[in-house]
Amino acid sequence: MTKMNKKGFTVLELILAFTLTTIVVVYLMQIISLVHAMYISNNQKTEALIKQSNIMDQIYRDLDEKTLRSISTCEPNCSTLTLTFTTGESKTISINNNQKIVKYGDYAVQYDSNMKIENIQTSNTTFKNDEGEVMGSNLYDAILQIKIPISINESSYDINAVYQYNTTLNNVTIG
Amino acid sequence: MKKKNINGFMLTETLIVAVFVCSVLILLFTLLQRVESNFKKTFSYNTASSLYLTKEFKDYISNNYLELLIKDYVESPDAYFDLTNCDLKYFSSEDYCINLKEKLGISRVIFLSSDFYREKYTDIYSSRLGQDLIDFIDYVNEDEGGKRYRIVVSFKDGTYATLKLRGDNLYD
Repeated sequence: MTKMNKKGFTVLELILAFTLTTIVVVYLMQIISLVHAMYISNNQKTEALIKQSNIMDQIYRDLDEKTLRSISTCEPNCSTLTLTFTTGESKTISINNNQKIVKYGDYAVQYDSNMKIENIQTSNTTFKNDEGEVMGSNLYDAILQIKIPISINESSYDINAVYQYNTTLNNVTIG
Repeated sequence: MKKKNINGFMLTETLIVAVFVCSVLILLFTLLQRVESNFKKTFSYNTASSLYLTKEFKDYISNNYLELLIKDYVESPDAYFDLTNCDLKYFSSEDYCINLKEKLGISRVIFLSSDFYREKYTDIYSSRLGQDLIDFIDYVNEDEGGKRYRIVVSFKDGTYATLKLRGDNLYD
């Protein structure tokens, strides 16, 4: 009579082990997928934030250190805007939507191809009362805004430069 | 008499393994939540863009009635001043202030001092200021000794920034 082999696993044990392993693997795959998506998304955001801060740093450095004299016309929006300072120096902000390049003077950044970059928008608002007196703060009575809307997946990384000035001390002309 | 099957796993062993595996998975999820939360802070707290825009508002406040603002704050029992509505007492032109806020993309401006942290007001004002703003104020956690005044700005795009206005050389 053949002796029965008592080594090995029962069917029930195999089914139980297989089920547990499947559950663990499914959860692990979800975690890996989540981490991967997080990595790609956060990598994109980090790059966009770095580029945003670099361009704004360039623009604000000039706006803080020099006095703005005029900007070129940009109605209702434009792909190129020239800033002229009282030192005689001019710098141009330009958008190349095909290559996703935003340039300020000699400094340029290239965004990811799936970023949405819109044209430059400007607005120049002055605040004076009927007597022509300064209505803003003791120093400022006008606000110039230069904005480049940049976004991806409903997250906004706009380049938004706001320049406050006094029209009596230094008027900024457009054109 | 039937022989007992001594091969296979006990129920206890199976349960122990299952509990161990579940604990590891829960720990992994918790860690990922923390990573996600830290990423969120990095992307929305004191970004370069929001700091530049906050500086513009800080310059505007500094050129208006800052001395009066600090004097009123020191004498007031309030833990913070909400400057969002451009109170004409502290700004010479409500129109200018509102326009500036709009262009800067600001949704809220709070003026407070380092006392806000010492007195643990973050717990008391979470319902009034909103938990997100309180989390940011907590994150800044100003308590260097002496008195510091700050503006805390929340923007419409969900970012937050803060800048110091004045040190402890006034109205102590």
